Amino acid sequence: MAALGGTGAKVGINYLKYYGRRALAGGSDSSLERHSRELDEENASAIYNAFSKLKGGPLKLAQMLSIDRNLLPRAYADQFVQAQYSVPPLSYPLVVKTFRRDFGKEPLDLFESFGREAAHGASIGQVHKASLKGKSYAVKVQYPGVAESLKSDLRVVKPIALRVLGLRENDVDQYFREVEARLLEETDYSLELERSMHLSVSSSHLENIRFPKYYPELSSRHVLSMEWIDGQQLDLFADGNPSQSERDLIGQALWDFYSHQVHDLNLFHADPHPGNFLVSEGRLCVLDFGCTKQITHEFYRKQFRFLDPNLQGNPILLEEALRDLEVIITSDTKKEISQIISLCGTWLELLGRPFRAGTFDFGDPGFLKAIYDLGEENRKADYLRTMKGQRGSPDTIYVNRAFFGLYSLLGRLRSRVKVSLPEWLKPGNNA
Amino acid sequence: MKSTTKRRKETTREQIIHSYMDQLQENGHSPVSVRRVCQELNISEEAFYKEFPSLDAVEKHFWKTWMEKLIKAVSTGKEWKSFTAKQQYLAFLFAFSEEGLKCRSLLEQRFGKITLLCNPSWLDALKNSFKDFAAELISHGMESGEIASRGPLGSFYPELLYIHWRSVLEYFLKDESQGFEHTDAFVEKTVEFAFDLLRTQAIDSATDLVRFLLPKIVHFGSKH
Repeated sequence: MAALGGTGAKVGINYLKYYGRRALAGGSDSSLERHSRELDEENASAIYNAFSKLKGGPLKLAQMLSIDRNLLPRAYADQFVQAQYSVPPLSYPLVVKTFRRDFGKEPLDLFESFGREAAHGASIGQVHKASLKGKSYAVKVQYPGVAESLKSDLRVVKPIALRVLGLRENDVDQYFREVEARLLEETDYSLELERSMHLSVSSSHLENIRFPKYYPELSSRHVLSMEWIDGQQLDLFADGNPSQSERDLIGQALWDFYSHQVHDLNLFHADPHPGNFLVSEGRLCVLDFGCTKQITHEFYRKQFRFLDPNLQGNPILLEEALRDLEVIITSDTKKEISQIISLCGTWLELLGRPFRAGTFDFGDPGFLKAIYDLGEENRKADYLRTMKGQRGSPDTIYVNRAFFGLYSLLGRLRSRVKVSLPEWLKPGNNA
Repeated sequence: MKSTTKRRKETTREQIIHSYMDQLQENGHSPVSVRRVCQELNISEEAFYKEFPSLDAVEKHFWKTWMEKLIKAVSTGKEWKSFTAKQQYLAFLFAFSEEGLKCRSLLEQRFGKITLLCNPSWLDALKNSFKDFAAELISHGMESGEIASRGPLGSFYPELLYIHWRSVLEYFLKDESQGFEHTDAFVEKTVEFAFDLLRTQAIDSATDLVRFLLPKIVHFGSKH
């Protein structure tokens, strides 16, 4: 709490500095713009520093917000992205205690060897390397009390986040509730085990992708055991120097995996940050199913109808689809309706590009930049801010998160990916 | 503590302790007299005094044994010897909070009403056992360089750990989180902090600063 209070003060000071500078700069536009950017960056690191001191809820919230760059100024987002790699470790004696409580046994009663130091962190826990009968295991152990402290953490963070980020409570209320629900799910390792096993079995036919084996008999509410896989984290792989064909292969595997989950299973891995993927022996490996999102088939149809090529350049069909998803609501004025349609038309044109291309080159820096820029522009647009009412379904959040995440991973990979529309949207297959 | 489970025939000494603790928990205060305990057990006062010099001594002995059992259980663990001092201390505290679940109501009754720094006589023997344990732990930490040796100041460390343990106990009794997980978090965070202080030079430089400033402050003070 004190840590967050400190941030409030720091942000305040930074704003003070900003207004001080503005007075000096005499209001010339270009320097104003520059100062505003510097300010965002300073605030972002102040906020990040405070967030990184807190485990659980705030950290997850920071990660959440970071992936949806439309909701956050870019400077904040960039800082938040770092959050996923830095959490203070859990002591080994506490790991032992967790085992004793859940299994009635200590780690060394279950495994032949068990690393005392965490091999790496996870957002609400950490991973230890263990071995048994010649096999290596990755054992994820949860921070104590994380599920319980999450709600109270979010309650503390929410108003502060709203204020420092300049968001309106009503606009993001559903957003926060949806995020909270997913976060609480994530603290349930039994559910994660079930979903991991389900998703890896039902995706096992896909090419160039593999999943670790899971071990229910070595797992509990706070402990999750899976096969240890050696490999390179996806961002390190991307920033190393893989050949274009390697980039394409991994990118394609990633794309196919998401297509299959979203279009065929309507249940998907909703946490596409690079820490959740490894490249191992030339294949993509999916590590963490902590955050998954199930959508109804009905919602799926409404949401992905926007990929229908017929909607492009057809405002009447587009309006219908938008009303269907309650993005346009009955109280909207004519002016608002036309603003929404034109905005969504721009978004669709942009986000739908890969689907129209056949093979799409995510390495094109112009593409991601156009997405960020449009997001920035929307964020600043007054007409969007003054629009009332909650629009769309909270389910959209994680669909967006998955696709923005996927696009930015592919952008980082600079992959060329073969993309096709789901069957039901292909011309001649009108559902 | 419960006398309902079947067990081997108890020695008189054990019987006395049990009867004493049962009465304590039942009535909310220690037995009023030796006579009362003897009546309960159907033994002579002579038999009592053969074992304990006073009623007070019974409870002292109980808590000492309780602490020693805890220490023994944790220090005979498989990995104990290879633990750092910090890990040993954490392991002790987690074993304590596990044990605490079994006798929470007694702890509540006995510790709930006294403040952190208050040391009633029934705690004397427990405190000594704890401090012996802490001293060993600290010398282990000093050997490995984990704890900075600060000359005579070092002799206060066991006392400080004792106060810390009492604060964990107090936190535990007030904790209402599921499975008392907040106590675990409290232990993690405070031990981390305590060992940071024991290790880093912060204290040393602070002491140095105070030693430098103190004579001057006193000097200035005396001028006025």
